[in-house]
Amino acid sequence: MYKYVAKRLLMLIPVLLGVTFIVFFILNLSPGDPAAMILGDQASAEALEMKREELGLNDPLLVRYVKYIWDMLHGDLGVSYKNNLSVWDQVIDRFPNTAILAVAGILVALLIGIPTGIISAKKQYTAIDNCSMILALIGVAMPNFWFGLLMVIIFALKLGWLPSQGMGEGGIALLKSLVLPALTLGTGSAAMITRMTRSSMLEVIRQDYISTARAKGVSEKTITYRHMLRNAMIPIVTAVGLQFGTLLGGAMLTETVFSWPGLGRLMVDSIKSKDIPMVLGSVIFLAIMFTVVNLIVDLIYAFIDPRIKSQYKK
Amino acid sequence: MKNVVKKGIALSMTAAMICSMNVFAAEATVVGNDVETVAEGEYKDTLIWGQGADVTSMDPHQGKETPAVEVTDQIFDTLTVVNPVTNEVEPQIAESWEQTSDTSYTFKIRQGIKFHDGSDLTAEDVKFSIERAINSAAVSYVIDFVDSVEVVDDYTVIVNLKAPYAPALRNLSVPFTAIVPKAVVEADEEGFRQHPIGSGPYKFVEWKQGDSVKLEAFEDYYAGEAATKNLVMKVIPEAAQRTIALETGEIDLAYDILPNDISKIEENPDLTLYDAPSLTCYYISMNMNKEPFNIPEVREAINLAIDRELLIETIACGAGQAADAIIAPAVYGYVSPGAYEYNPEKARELLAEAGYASGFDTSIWVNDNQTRIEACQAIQAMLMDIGINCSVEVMEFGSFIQATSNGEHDMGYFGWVTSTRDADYTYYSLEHSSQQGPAGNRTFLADPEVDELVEIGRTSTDEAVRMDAYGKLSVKLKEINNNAPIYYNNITAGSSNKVENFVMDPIGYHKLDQVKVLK
Repeated sequence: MYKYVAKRLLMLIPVLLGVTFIVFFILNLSPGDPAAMILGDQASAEALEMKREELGLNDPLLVRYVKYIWDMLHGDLGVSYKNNLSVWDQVIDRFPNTAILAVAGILVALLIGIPTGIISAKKQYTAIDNCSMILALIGVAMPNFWFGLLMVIIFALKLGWLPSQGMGEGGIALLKSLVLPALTLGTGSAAMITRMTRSSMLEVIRQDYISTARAKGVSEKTITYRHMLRNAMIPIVTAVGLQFGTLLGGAMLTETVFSWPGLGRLMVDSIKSKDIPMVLGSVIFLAIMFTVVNLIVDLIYAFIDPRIKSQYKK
Repeated sequence: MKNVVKKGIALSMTAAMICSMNVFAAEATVVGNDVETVAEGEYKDTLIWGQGADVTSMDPHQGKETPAVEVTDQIFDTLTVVNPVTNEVEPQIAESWEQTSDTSYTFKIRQGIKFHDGSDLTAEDVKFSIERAINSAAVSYVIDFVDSVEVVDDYTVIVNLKAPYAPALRNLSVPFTAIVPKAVVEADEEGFRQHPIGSGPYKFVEWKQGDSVKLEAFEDYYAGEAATKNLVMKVIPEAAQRTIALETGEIDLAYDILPNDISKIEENPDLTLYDAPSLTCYYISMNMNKEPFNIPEVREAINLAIDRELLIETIACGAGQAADAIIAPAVYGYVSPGAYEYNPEKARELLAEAGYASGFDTSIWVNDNQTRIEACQAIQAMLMDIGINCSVEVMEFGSFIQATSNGEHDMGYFGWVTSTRDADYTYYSLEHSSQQGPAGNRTFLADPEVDELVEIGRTSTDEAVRMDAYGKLSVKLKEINNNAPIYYNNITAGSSNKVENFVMDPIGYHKLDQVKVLK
């Protein structure tokens, strides 16, 4: 098991090298001069040249890439072009905000998605199933920013129950400010999880061992949770893991609509201002997060399914 | 047994999730101030304003973007200041000054000014700050007219200019030339950027990046303590959300109201709208090095073909004013040469005179900004009406600046802010022959009479002579038609009716030290 974890963590190195290589070259080869971007259209030619020199933009691209990787290996992700502050500090500063939102969002998604999926599967082709599938379809198709704005208009503007934007400070204020963005994020993911739960449950619902359990007189509740859900869990956990990994990378639209100071917004702002070190830093962090979450998902498989656990031991 | 283990795992996972939320919540609590506490008396002790973007840098010699200056301008002061209402230069850190020669000013520094760390502001800090700003690639363009700064005594400095420069005092009022404490910056520059120390009415408390900045009134401010004890700036990137936050009372002031939201604020009896032309002009530069833009009739025809009022009504949702010059009315040195006429009929005649009766093919370049693109598309249709087949080419900002600086464009659509509030800043950069290309003159105009008038305005110390030169210059430029000024956009803000003494600065650097909010 430990060997497996170590192997997976070592695999992070080529993943990160690949990610940095692609992002570094895409950003640097895309048209536009970061110096002009930073200094604006009113800067003199001398100032632009000074800036290019300061940022090391006059060096060959490959030299810059090797230097970047060398610094990265020494734990230095550089400083932002825009505000001269450490990239790592800014990413770490924003991450807890994104993590709070991601955890809240995924909780909403699980609370809505799994029960709805189970009910839908058990009541297949009934009115409840059709309704929840239509709602799930709407949930998947509905753009986050639109749904977010709609909720703001209803719950903040009309009813005045919740703050319209921002991240509250501590306790109740934080929870209140979390409700609308978490619901916005969660409903999209919930829709996905509902559909996944339903289809996974349907796969196991007609298996022979379910009929056997029923014949043995096992209660319906035990059949549902112990025999059906547990066997249907692997695809659900995969879907939840992927959703959570994506949310941890920052929900760009939701964070923008709700003025939530998370990683997603940091990345969007950095892309807009061509702040290459900041984008690279955020992407590297995102890649690490995604890999780690996937690893955790793989480890959870072992707890759900003993057959997988035995494979890890090999 | 297995069940117990499973339940244990499930419980501990849930507990971990809840704990992590609590840890993060606790972290947020530690850094937070109690924003909602209310002072005794009839006014609130905290003013909250919302703006569209975060501060780029707390260092005034780095962060020149408006969202940065909106905050740092409360923390730092400058030698001089321009009154946003009268547009006159007034003393601030310098209590008086004297021009001792064409290229030299002697400033008397106000005694008793303190920085937020309690140290005195002296001539050494002024010299250090000006030199630091000159050496900053981001802001040197507003202050590189200064050759040297001499310290005479603790409260006297002499500023020597490279050449006679009339707008010197206005340039020294630009927030990017703010006075910073030499000792603090030299000791720990990185620390200064994270925790700025100035001599302005508010001192820095906390910056939560991407979220908010908190400031607190400086009790030893030379002009007396600010009217409201705490200021909180909240970053609200979505313009529609800023209006909603204003409507719900979460913020007291909102900057940059979306044109669509203007009526919402106007119709709300609890809110007030502030709306005035800004110092930004949107204009088309025609490349006079390329055919047929070297022909005066063609340039005039293009100017006549543009229906400015229609553009403002549609593209800017009415939040603008038709431009008649490349500088806005609120800029010192603005003289109206008379409004541009919209006359497609005459434009067609002029094209025929120039030998282009059946029009020609051309292009207009623009950077990837939605409003600017839409303006160009509207202009494209207007030009089509007089027979000019014009394509709109959208480019990423950096490439756009590079290509137009190299003179590769036929026409380019630009926006220019007269950041020093003095006509010279714009006329010199955009019209003088020495500034062709990257410096700003992207029409590649080289006209001796224009150069002479720009130079008179730039060097004369006689205000009447300057104004006369700028009057003649605006008329001359309207004859040349190298640029087609389109419109000055409006600067907007919304506030709750409880906000008092808010004065909107046309450049967007609203000072908040006199603003109060009724409970």
